[in-house]
Amino acid sequence: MTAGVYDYLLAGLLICLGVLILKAKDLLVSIILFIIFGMFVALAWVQLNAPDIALVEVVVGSALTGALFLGSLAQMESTSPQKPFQERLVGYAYKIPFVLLAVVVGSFFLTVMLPITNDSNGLRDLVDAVLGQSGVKNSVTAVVLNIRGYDTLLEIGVLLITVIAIFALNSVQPMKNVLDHQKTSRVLIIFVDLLAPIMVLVGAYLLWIGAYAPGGAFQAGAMLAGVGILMLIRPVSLTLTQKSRRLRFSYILGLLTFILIGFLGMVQSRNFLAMSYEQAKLLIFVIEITTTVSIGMILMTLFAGCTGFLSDEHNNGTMKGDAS
Amino acid sequence: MKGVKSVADIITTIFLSAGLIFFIGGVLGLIRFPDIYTRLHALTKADNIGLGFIIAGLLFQTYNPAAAVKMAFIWLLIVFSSATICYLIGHAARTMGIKPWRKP
Repeated sequence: MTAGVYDYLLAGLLICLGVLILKAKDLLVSIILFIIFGMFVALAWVQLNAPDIALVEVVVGSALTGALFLGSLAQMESTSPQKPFQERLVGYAYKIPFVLLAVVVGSFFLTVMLPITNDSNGLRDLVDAVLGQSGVKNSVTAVVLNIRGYDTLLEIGVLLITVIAIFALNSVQPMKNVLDHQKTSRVLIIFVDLLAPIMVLVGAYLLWIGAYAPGGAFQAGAMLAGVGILMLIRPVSLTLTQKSRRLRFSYILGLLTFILIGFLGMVQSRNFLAMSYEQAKLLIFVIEITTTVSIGMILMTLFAGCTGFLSDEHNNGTMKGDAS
Repeated sequence: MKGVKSVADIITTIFLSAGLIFFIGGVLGLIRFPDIYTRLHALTKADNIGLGFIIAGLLFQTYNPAAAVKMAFIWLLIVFSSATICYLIGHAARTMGIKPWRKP
């Protein structure tokens, strides 16, 4: 599509926001600008005809990462005073290679992408040729879960590694300052109690609609992570314990199912993750459900680890039983 | 005018402009008001009504009643959550000891 005024304005806004994020003196200002930046990047994705990625960008890249940053900021010590000018000059010298690298990579992308015209369809024709046999109607879901399912399996594995890292590094103190004020806040309780079921419903809708329209496992999992974060913030609610077996099983559920289905394909036709046409729809749906649960729990644990809601006590019973 | 295809487009433009005015007013209040309580007031009131106008304008662009109901539901959700968040921020500011601005 030809770039209109809106596209140029959006691109210029993104560049200005990026500069503002780097130049902001206060970390809190940077984080808030980063959340806004994520929202505008989602608008850019919509302009590039990628609504699936826009959904993930808004929930994970903007909201969830912003929440992680804010929680980490609350854990940090007070900022140190401004260093003298000589020290700052040396610091600038270390940044020059990275600036050069950014200029080189940026000009490479510009020279490669400028000749792309409206008529080029990219990989769309290749995907549309096999879309009928893939079991779903949405081309993004077909690519993510069927044609390039192996990459998604490895991505889920990477998410699992982040949880292991959070468990290993978890030495943060529980948040004591702001959230104690909300200990008996009835407004917050009513808010969470009304909003959480609606969000679970929207998550389930995103999961189901992923076969026909923008949606899918990652989007639904990120929405469930939002529900989890709300439940953590709600006063008088759950605490995540590291040793809970149900919690740890929910992390590996997605990866386990994916690998088992991969071996099923290997048993049937000697190819890992091969799916025949009749089974593809069912297998993809099973993978999507389990990865949704896993992604939701993993992202919620990332937030809990960054903000001090993760405790060490040995307790098998503290696990919420929501729709997951 | 380019792109105006029917009366619906004109109505949409009117509603979107009204919403834009309210949003500009809210941002102006955010920048110019003296303390956090007045800023919260300007933001939430203006944003709720501004978003209401924008969604009301967009309702005239769709022939699908399901989409219209979804958009109205989105507006209700945003009103609900922004009111709650306004209260939470104001309560947190009050318990942290931030005093309301008094005319000097």
